[in-house]
Amino acid sequence: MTLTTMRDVLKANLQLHGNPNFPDNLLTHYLNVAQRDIQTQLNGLGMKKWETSDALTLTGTSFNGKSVKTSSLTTDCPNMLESPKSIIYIDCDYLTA
Amino acid sequence: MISTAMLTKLRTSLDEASATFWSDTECYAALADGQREVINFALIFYNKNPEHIPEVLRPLLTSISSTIGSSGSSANLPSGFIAPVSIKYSHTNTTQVPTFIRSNGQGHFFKQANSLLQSVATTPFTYFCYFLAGTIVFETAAAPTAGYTLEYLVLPSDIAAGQNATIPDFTHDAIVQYAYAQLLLKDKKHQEAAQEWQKFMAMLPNLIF
Repeated sequence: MTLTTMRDVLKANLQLHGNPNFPDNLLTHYLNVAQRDIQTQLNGLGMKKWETSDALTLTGTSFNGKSVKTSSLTTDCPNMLESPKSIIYIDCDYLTA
Repeated sequence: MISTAMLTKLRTSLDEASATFWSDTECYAALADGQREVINFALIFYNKNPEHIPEVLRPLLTSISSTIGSSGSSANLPSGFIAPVSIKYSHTNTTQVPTFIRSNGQGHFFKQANSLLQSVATTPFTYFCYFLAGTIVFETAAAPTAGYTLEYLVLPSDIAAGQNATIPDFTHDAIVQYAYAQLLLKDKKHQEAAQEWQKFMAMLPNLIF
């Protein structure tokens, strides 16, 4: 189902046609919230469709007196689902890390 | 019923077959007022449920297509405009899409400022418009020329000699009844006029479907 069709189904089922309180942008917002909720519920159950990977840019810093490397997930993984279960694995190369 | 038949029926009620106390001009003016009164009553129902146009109002449905010049965002309402029915708009004057009609009520500017309730030029079905001082204002300005189609209800022609009522036949008895009640006032028959007015009011609900 395309996004347009999903919005049309919403409009038809809820009789929202012409209702100024429900323009397309708001309906798209609701659909995205619903999609993310479903993704969060199903995360880790082998739903490969939305698995992806991003390269991390590591920066040296200090944490609690130890030298560590950090990555900004906001920058490096901008589309990552906001759930602790979202990270499936991290692959490190000791030669460059 | 053609206009002369309405006049004849009215004169029968007045018991004045030809113009003596009430001129034909007065009678036709009262009939024209009656037509508008029936329309006003139907508009109450239409405004409560704009999804359904009562049969009484269907002959008044018309449309206009026009353009708005460079960077403009408003257009004058057409002559005789009573109420909007539906609007399509394109800020680039290409494919027009259905456009929401926003109320000018207390929350108008708050809704206009809401990022999810704004007119977005690049997104169909987010166009908004509202009515202001005889104009229709679109919240996404022309770039450079906009096009719109407005379906609306228009005032009927006044009933006159040679000009029949615009609204359907089933309303004509009520229109004559209204005119009868009004014309009795000229004869200072206030009590009788009030009774005839009540009869007119009793007829109105049956005309709305």
